[in-house]
Amino acid sequence: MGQNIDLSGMMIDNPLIPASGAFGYGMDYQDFFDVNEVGTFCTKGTTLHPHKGNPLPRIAEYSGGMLNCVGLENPGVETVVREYFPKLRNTYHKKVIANVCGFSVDDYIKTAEIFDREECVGLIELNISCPNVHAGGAAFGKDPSIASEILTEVKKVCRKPVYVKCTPQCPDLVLMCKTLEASGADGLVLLNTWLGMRLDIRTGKPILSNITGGVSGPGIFPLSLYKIYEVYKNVNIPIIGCGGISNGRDVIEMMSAGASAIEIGTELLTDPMALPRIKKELSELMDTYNITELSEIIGRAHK
Amino acid sequence: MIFSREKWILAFLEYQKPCDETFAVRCKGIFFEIYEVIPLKNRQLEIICNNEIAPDVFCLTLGGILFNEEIHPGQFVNIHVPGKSLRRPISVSRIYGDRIDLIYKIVGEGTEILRNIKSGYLDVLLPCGNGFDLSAFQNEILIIGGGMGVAPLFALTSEAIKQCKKVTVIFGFRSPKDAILEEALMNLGVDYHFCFDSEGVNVVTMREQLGMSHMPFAACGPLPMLRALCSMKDADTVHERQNLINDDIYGQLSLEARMGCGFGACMGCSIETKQGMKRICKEGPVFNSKEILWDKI
Repeated sequence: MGQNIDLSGMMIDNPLIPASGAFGYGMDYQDFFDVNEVGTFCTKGTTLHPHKGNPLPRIAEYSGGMLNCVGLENPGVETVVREYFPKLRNTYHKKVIANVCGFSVDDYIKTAEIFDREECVGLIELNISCPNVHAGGAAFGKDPSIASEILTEVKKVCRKPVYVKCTPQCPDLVLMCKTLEASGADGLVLLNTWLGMRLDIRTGKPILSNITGGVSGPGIFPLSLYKIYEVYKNVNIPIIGCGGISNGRDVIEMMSAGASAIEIGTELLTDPMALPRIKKELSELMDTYNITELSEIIGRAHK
Repeated sequence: MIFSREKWILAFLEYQKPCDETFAVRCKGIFFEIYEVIPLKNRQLEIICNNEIAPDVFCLTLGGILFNEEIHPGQFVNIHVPGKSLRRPISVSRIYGDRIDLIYKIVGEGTEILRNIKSGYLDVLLPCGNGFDLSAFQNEILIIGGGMGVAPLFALTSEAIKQCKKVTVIFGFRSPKDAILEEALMNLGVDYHFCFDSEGVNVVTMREQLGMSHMPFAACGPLPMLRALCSMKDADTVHERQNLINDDIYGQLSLEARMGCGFGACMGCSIETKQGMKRICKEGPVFNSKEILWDKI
């Protein structure tokens, strides 16, 4: 029974990928399970320079999951490659997906270039979809011309595959994805969090310091699933599905809609043992439904 | 019944019920052979009782394979409340044998659900964060709590007494009917002082009255209270308070925040300190008062 997946030449032995922002730099789950069980993982969104992020409160809840406005807090790419990666290699032996963020085109190029040189980086995930920063982030992800400019420039300095993580806030996602494909994207990551808010019941004021935050969790699963289904019909590059996956069934559904692999975020935060659990569920479901090669179900909704 | 080492560990982690003492002692021995400290894990703990001890304030007693060495005063547990997406971080107020007491106030939907769960098991992540560091205090310690902030300080008081320190406790509440833990403090035989906003006395004025304003302290409570404890005197604006922070006073402060994961993965509770960004759930919740940037929190 095979769960091997090919992401533009980066081979992973199962399709489960902790999403950026839910797995830090791979060192916060070591108490819970052997982190080598993941297919690969996405690093915390990383910028050229250290970034402090937004003030507290950064977290709110809704019945389908959570909202966050962390705002790209990270130590900067230099610290990550110099201090975090060597430490990570003591316990984690697979490749990572480097999530690259920036506040200008130049930031993206420089950060991606540094990550590209690292042996443990298998793939670059261009994050043009963070909803919680006031410059860059999702602002770039709504405009196909800026998005393709960033991608084209980053591709020039990277030898490794470059995937683009898109925002559901993009008014015409299919057009965006087609433009990115034409500009040389090796793959797509669909999607980052959805923009939303919560108000304090006593004061009527926003709970999050940034007023709005990224909505995630099982409540957005059908929304993400539909977007992936739509985009898959229009592009020929691999899609990594992301948004509300909380169990093995969701993985099968999202792959059937067109995802080659999937990212898990919120579920890991509420159940730190979720990854080995979902992996087990996935194996059992493959048995139940006589799926011998997982890669064969990719996009079967369209056949 | 002969178990291999791995079996014992599995049994420990998977065990669903409080168990007999021999089993617990054996598990503990094996655990400490392998780990220097017992790692953060999620476990199924049994609800022993969950009763209202003051208006809208509950004490939840959980049991399972727990050891006194496993949870330090100031650490917290992160509870999965059935039906809610995010876990609820609650500090541990008493650690005894294979049980822990958690004291919580009804503040929203999660605690509203929790109050009505009277039996069964809860999925609990523990131990979370870093607790108070008693070794930083010499012979004497002043323990100051406000409102629900008193909860973790009871565990600290018990431990400080066990370590033969001279302990003075000041607990402040809105009014006498909100007061909790008085009997427990009495049973410890500790020198304690209760004060009430309704009577115009708060913990800061009480500390002055006792002539202990310069004594090293450990505190937990609302942010304005913590800020006032670290200031020279009352100040009206944040700017004034920042300038009035008295760096001669040493305190350990336990902070709280809305958390995403509770184990350091999501950065949902990071604050800026003099030593850079720190996560309340992981590097905290207890911080040295001198590292706090008061205008940043």
